[in-house]
Amino acid sequence: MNITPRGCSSIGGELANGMEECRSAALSMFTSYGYSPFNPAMLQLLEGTMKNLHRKRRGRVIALNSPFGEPCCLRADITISALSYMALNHAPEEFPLRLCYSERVFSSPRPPKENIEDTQVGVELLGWEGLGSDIEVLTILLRALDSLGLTEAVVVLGDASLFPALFADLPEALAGHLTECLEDGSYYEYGKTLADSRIGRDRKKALSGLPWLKGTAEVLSQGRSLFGEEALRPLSAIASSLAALGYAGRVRIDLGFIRDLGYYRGPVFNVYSSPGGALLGGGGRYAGALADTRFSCQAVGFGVSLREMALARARGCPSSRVMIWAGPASPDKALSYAASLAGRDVPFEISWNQDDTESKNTAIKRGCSWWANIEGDYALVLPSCRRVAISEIGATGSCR
Amino acid sequence: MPVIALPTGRSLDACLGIIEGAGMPSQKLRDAGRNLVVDDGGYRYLLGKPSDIPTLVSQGLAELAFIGSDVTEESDVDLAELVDTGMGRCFMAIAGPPAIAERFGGHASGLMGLRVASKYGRIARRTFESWGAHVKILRLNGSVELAPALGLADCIFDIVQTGSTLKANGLVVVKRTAEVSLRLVANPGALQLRWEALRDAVGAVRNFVIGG
Repeated sequence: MNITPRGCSSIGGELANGMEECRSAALSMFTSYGYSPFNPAMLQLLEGTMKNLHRKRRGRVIALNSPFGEPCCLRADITISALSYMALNHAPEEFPLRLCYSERVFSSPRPPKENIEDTQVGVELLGWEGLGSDIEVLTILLRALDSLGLTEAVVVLGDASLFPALFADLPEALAGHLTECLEDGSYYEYGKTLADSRIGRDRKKALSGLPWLKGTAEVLSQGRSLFGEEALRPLSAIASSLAALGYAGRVRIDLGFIRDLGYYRGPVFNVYSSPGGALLGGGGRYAGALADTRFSCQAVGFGVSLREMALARARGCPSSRVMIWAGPASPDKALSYAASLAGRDVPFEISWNQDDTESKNTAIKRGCSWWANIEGDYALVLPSCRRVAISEIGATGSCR
Repeated sequence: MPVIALPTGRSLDACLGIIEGAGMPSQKLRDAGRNLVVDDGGYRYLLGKPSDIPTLVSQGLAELAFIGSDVTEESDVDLAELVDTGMGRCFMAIAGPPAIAERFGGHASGLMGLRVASKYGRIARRTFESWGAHVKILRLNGSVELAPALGLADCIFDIVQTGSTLKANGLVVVKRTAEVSLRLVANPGALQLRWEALRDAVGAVRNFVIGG
């Protein structure tokens, strides 16, 4: 019997274990920085959500009616929920508000993906405008990934406020079309539109080069020489702070990176699991205007996919799970040993199977790194079945 | 090593011409035979069916690709479009028996309920929806031009190169909707993470196209 519809998935096994490890470590990191857990509603009112979403995301909202007949959508954006919560529950003198979450978000997928839901962890720092808050959330993101062993994760920085500034004196229609080209990743159309425009030659040349300025932080000096110190100030400050915090090698710049302009109005970023790895998520500075709010709605935050994080970790290092063979041992001895592993943060599972071969095979099938024979006081390193002292469990052979 | 996906079939010769013109290695590619993965002078070329190319790039198996803009748009995959090579120029159009043209000349209500045969179901649906018309899309994989003659459809939505196939089947272009050409596309993530490795190839293609 299958009751899971297309586009949804029930996740179990190693992936679910991995996701839970990521969720737990990330939330622990977020709360240590003063972020309070936030549980947003699963449904969002459609009208308010659509008003605050970027045009490209509106078409992917999954709309439905609540049982009370209100037009709603499945939670499409957690930032909007967080801002709405802040506006309704907190006075301006309480700002900034720091929230963290581990929740599902929903949207119609773009091929070749088919999933309509993704569980994300993230933070929202609400009601504060200074660059310090951007650097804070980026640092938390990188530290959380470090704590999960994703020490090669790379952040790619862009700045959504760069384009309105650089296009300010262009005719409105031209500026709008150039922005759309960059949002859609149409570099060719962007270049052609500029080439066909009537703006000055030097300006045309500088703007033509903009989307191709990608790479290490050195790109910023090229950007400064083309567009001036002021335009690149936010990105320079962030890159410089992250370098001072020891993340110089893990920050890249993409001056053509523009995402959901109108939704994001400042620094934006993507985060990848490694220099050649998968996209884990992203974030940036939101500056919108929620209806009926009493103040401007600045927020900076990020959301990263738990599934992608868990998969990236699994690629980087094998599971360190231990199968404790409790077949011939007394339950109290097995559970006492289990408690000692738990005390050392070593994940484990107890096998009550009386047959040691079946127990070992189950451990191998489940991707365990060790099979512990507590009666025999030895362990096997899996899948090779090399015999080692039971005291070696958790000491070597795993990056977790 | 930059990985570039190339479409097999009639676009492959155009791709080879661009690669050679851009000064990129191509000798082993010319002699690929039935090999679908060719390592040549610091580049890896993947040869795939045109409709599979967007998937290869979006899944990160290739960083760059040459592909028709019709295929990219139909796939709806998120790709960065870097260069219009100008090769393989044709256009997307609605075509049908001459009598159908009248229905396209007036209000969108005249198009309601049309049966449209196409290989490009997604683009066709989007195009008609943008005009506010609900039509029935019949997805066919080949010989689309036959559909009106057999009474299966009122018109077709397809790419048109010379128009000779349309003419041979008694069809005329009713409405041009988009220009199509061979484009150099990229995986957006690869552009952000590995631009230094891709820059030379992209620059060489751009220079060749602009210079040519």
